[in-house]
Amino acid sequence: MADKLPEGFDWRQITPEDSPKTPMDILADPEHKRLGSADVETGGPAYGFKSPIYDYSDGTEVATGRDFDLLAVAAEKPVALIFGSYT
Amino acid sequence: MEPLHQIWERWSDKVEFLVVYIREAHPEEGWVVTSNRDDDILVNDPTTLEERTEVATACALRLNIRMPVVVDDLDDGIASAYGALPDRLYLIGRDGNVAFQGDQGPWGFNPQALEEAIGKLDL
Repeated sequence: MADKLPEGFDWRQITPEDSPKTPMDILADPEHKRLGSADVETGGPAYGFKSPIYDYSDGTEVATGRDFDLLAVAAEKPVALIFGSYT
Repeated sequence: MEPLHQIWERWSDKVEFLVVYIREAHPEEGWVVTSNRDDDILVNDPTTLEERTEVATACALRLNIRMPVVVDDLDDGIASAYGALPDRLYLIGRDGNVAFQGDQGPWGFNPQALEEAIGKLDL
């Protein structure tokens, strides 16, 4: 989430009454700021990482046993990174 | 996810695509949104990498994600470096530099902008 809510955005319309937190709680949370503020920037070095690859392309979970090494892959081919979660 | 799959289908011979599964944006103990409740997506924030991977799997299978997926560890190291919460798009060039940094989601999450950035690369 960005540093502030868009103008005119009514968060109550999309939040159930029993939600433990509101978007204002999230915006005030230092952890949210940490995870929403990038260390990298356009033109600067990417943050390299190596992480096990999961393949769901055939409709099942496959732990491939291989790692994705971002900088090694990017040296061969540009890499598009899509960050997100289920919720 | 479908716009991103379409971009992947158009460019996957020239660009590698990777989904990085990160910390939940709207866990049940946080800011809950009604759309998740309506879709029966009720997730508590995972406390182990195994739990996070299980949730990632449920997500990937439900959304029929066909691109490879990695799961950020519980220290959120990758998400932190890329300012990725709640969602975000990046393009990394062959020089190892960031070629495109999408705006922070959800309102800044723009697949079209990613594809425009891909189109500007010397492929």
